[in-house]
Amino acid sequence: MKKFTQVLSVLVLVCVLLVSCGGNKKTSATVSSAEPVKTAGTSTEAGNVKSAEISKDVKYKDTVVIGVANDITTLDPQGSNTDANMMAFYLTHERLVNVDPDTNQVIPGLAESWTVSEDGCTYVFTLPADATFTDGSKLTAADVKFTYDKAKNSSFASQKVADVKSVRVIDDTHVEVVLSKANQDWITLMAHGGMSIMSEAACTANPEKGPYLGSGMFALDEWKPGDFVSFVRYENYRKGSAPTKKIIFKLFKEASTRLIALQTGEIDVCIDPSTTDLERIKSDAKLELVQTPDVVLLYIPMQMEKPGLNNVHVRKALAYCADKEAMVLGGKDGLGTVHNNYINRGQFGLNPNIHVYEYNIEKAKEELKLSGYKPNQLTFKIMVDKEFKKTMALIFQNACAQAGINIVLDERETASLKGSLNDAALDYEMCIYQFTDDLGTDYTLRNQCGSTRQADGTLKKNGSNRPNMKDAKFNEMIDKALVETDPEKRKQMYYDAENYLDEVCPMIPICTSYINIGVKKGLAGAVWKPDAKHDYRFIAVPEN
Amino acid sequence: MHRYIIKRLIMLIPVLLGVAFIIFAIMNVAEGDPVYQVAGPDATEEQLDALREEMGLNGSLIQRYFRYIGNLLRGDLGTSYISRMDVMQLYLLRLPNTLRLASIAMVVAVIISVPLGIVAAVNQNSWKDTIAMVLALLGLSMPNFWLGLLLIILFSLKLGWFPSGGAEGVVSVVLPAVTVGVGLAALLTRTTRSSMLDVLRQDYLRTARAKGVSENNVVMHHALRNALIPIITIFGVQFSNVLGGSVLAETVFAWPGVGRLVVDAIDQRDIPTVTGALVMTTMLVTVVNLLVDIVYAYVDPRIKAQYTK
Repeated sequence: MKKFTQVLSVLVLVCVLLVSCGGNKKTSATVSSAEPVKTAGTSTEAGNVKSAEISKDVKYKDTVVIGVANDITTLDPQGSNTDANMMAFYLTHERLVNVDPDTNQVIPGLAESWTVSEDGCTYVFTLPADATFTDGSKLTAADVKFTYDKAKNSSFASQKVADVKSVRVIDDTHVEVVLSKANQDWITLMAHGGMSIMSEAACTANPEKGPYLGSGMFALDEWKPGDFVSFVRYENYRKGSAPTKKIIFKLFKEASTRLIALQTGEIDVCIDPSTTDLERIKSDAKLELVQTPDVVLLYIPMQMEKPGLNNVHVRKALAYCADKEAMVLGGKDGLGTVHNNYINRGQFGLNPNIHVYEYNIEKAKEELKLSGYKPNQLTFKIMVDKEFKKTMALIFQNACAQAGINIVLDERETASLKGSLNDAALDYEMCIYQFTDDLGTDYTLRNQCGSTRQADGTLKKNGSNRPNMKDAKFNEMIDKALVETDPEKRKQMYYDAENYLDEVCPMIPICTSYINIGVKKGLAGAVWKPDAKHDYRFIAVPEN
Repeated sequence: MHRYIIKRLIMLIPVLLGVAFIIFAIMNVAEGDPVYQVAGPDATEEQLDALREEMGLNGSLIQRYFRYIGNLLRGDLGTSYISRMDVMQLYLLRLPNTLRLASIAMVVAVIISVPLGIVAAVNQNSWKDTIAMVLALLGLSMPNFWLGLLLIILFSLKLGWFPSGGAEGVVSVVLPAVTVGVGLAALLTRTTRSSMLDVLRQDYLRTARAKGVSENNVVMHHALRNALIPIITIFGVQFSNVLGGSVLAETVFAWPGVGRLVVDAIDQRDIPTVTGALVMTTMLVTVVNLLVDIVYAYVDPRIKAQYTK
């Protein structure tokens, strides 16, 4: 009897384990090229995906719950740049201009129209006379001036207004912005969430919470950091109120739980489900999968002042060792698009004929020989902070070893990796990192590879310039392109700038990936963006 | 007894100072200047300097520590680097959720473990004992994030009885509490069993039986009370652990508790939030330990006599 019960217990244990370890047959989806994927909604020329139009025949829910992976950390538009926060700013605030989701062209936002002087330096914006903040107070040109002046002192927004010389209130509905030099991308920068117009009165009365007040279609309702934040419709919005009364962003850190919450109906949108769960969404009759290539560029910056990496031939040798196809397959389950340019897909001036450092160990060996270093003389550390990046780094490490360069993986927590990258000491050699850019070509190039002349004449790298590239010639090239008014000439200038970067080889672009979103079937009105800053202002979810 | 409690409360001060220093030192020796973590990409040198001043990052580690302790004594845990909110406010926002989860999980653990442990001990080496020990082994071996996912799939997705995540409403706590409680019950079951086995072999129980006391009465009144001390000890340790946060269960169930606050803060290198939350948790754990000691006294008069000496 005793033996029987012991055997029985063991069998029960084994059965429980087997049942729970079993699962679907195969759940991973693989897409290995940039070809359009089947997605719920319509892909636009600008790379966005628009959900279905709102129908008068459908009854929609009053509340839409969006399951997010990252917490909203601030509701102050000038307090952060993260995607999670941007989505909130787009609900609560307005910018002077917007970017058309169909064409990527700048269109009126809060401003009804604007004029530009012939020299491209003076903009006059016309505001609507009936614009109000969501507390009912009037929005005037003085609030625009206040916001732009405030941005000058914000570490998240100051670079966007760096060229603004002065802001002058002409009258309640007209504001003049004078730039110190013509800047073809400036108007695009004004569509960024960080340039959301805030209430001077509210910010003055309460500097901490005043910035939360905007003139958008929604107002803050309740915020429990780490749990949820809800927004209620502003009924008196001048262009008509939103179709949904309440939008809630609910934090679900764990991807599996987030998807289950979508399946059970607790949430209506599941941002970024696990790639192994995509098939579940596709096979669920109540759900749809929105999938579109993103503009998050994964790349390997090479710290150009580190011994060895200060040699262009070494950098080129490393570039030839990057088997990008294999890295996408290994690290991203094939869900990615190999990228060879230094600016993001879809941006103005992307060079279609850029020289490609194709995976070629022999060429890598040749470059190493040209560098003067002997095989196995060089060892570099590469920092990685996620499992998929580790996989990519291992593939890279293996190829580099064949070429005679040793790569050591330096696994970090994200905070530690960012700490090293952002620290003034710049004590790193390489890492696998990413950037998302929706602020125009100049911002991308200037931020990623540009530098600024200091009072003592030296160059200092700009904010996200991870390769620590300090090159006066490159700065001059992008400075000239920025003020060029002829689009064709300007485009050529950016081609040249990319070709120059290709010569200098400060970084190895790897790939972009895909935005995946699970939604309730019939969801309408949302605009899904490749930079993950989705627009929910017109979102509507059918009842049942 | 009162003197003992006051003495223990006074001892709390050096413990807190020591813990605060250790956490403070660890967080501050990590690579990189935290100011770059907080400042945006557009920050100028002047803005970085101003921010460093505002964040209290000027001065040596020791100076900053004493400044921190000074603020701590005034109840000021600092401001979160990321959300710019008061750390005490952030902590107090999460604490009720953690207390709710921890308390209910402990109740679940006790309801499962004490009867199971008693049954196992009373029926030592029988099939009942074997099953109880296999269940305890299962509870110990199962990662609670895995158990949590299984419970979500069964009770949320398939049956629709409970929400899969969040801390809204009464029912939302059931699945996370069961998940945490089952893990805790495993150790408590084993402790109850071994403690009961020790007591059941004592002479005084044989005497009680010889005097005609019923077996139920022997077990529940005479044996259990004397077996409680180790059980209470483990209970206290486990309760303290859960108060520190059941990070995995909180993550799986989107439960906004203290554990996730700390882990998210570590991930973002939000030093004031990590330090503040850990100092507060230390305080809470010390108070729980004190309460456990007081309960000892009520359970065992011999201990009470020691306290009152």
